[in-house]
Amino acid sequence: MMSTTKILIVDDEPHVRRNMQLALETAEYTVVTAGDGEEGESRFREGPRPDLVIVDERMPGIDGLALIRRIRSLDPRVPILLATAYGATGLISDALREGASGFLAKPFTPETLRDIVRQVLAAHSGAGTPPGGSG
Amino acid sequence: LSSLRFRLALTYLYLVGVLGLVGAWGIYHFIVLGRAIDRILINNYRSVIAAENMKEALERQDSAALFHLAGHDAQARPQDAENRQRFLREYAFAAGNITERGEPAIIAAIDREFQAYSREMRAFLQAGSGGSPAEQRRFYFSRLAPRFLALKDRCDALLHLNQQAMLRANDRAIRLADRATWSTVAVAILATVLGLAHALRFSTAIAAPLKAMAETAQRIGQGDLEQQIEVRSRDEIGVLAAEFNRMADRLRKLREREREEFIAIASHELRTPVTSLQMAIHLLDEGAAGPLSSKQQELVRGAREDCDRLQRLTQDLLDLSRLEAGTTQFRRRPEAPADLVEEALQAVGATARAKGLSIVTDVPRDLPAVLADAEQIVRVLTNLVNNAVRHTDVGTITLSGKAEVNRVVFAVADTGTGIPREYLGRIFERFVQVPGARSHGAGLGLAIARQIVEAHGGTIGVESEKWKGSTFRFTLPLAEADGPLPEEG
Repeated sequence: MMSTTKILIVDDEPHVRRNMQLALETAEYTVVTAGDGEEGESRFREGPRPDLVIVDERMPGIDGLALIRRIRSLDPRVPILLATAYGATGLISDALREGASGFLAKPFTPETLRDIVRQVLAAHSGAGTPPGGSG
Repeated sequence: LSSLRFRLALTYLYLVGVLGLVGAWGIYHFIVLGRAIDRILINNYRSVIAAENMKEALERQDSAALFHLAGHDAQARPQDAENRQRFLREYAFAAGNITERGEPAIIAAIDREFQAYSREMRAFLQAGSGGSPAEQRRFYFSRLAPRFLALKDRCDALLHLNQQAMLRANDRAIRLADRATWSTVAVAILATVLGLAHALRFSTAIAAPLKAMAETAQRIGQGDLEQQIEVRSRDEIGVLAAEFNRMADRLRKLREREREEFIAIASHELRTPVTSLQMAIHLLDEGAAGPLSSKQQELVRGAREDCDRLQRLTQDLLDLSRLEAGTTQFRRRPEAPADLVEEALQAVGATARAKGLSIVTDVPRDLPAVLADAEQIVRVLTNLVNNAVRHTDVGTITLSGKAEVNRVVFAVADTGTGIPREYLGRIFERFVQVPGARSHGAGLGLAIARQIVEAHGGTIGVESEKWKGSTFRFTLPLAEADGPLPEEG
């Protein structure tokens, strides 16, 4: 039986999206996916709030940073991971300013993905502890 | 005050000043010359005229005496009176214009002798009615004529004296004019030379930095954005140079941003499919999509290994691009060389031991600290040791560190297959691999190592002998001349 922990994945690459979904579903998470920023925002609004959002940095239309800003305006507390292929210092500081909780460095394996998701959720569920980042 | 406009104005002012000086010099000499001519006219010429007139008046008085002898008294008396007055007028002028040495004596003599002559003349004319013509002739020739001649000689002397003075003054004026001509020419030449020198210096002062700027601009145009113009002045050219440097700086930043942007896009485009592939293969391998047969398992394992290799290659390529573009951020801190070597060995020591190779380290703990980004330098060391292990079947891998002036030399030596001579010069280029060498990489490791070492301000090199082994050496600058070692941990 799936756990009640809901994760929203927003990535424009269908294969990456599907593989991440599979990797997280095998770890018993409930996964919702979106193919772009617009869809990501509406998926975030509908139904029960996700416990974690994973956002790809580089997407056509609304990009990762813009989506983080939108989600933050809806929910100041939900942990958000930014998946990026290029960890430039400028990007990292921008992302942290927009409210990213951590980073997911591409490429990653299913094990790494699950480890980071577990860590972020654990850090976030701790009462009063601020969201911890990794990656 | 140091503005170009001010200096330009100053130069013109200088030239105007020099021109004024030359003009003033000329005018001064005109005035001096004019005065000399005036002096001749006033001092001497008028005295000469006076002496001439005095002589003529005397001649007329003498002819009045002769008229008297001839019995024309009616004509003689007024002529005498008129010319006496004329003589006295001229004499008064000459007496009032004594300018030459010897002139007062002559004037005094003329005064004295004219009074005597006048007395004799008066007596001669008054006695004319009484005396016989013979007596009167005798009186004239014995008394009057000698006085007339003597007086005329005095006047001649006065004339001569002033004429001589005039000649002398004229000579002086000619010399003065000559001197004025030559000195004015000299001053004009000097002013011209100085003006030219000044103009040359000033134009060089303007042109030289502009020329340097043009050369730098050309180099920047050819893509060398590291160029900077030396700002040597605070005038408009200095401001231009500073602005130029700022522009080059902005261009440099722009190019860096562009390169960074390019690498970011390349990273995304390369890593996204690698991510997808790696995830799919790993998920298959762990049975997330159902159990695999042993044949399927074998295929997936192979794919997994190659996928990991592809991932490492992508990583190396992007790292090398960032290093070459100069966008890698180094966090350089003082590090103990022994710590760096130890950390590298923790990562790769096991591989060497598994192969039965012995590892010797000779890095004294008291070596001075080097300025290094530990993560990057450990990467260099790891890469060198990995290479050594890969190319060595039997023997020893030696890691050593040695302090030199201002730097520490690290060396990784093996007893392996060595590198053929023709490859030694190219081994640090990307994708260069020695044929026949058992390699697992794409030939980027040493290129990355060189970039990292050079970004630290060090150098890297290799010595090798076929079948005897290779020694890679690189240097790192000391953290400080007498810097303390960083604390452990």
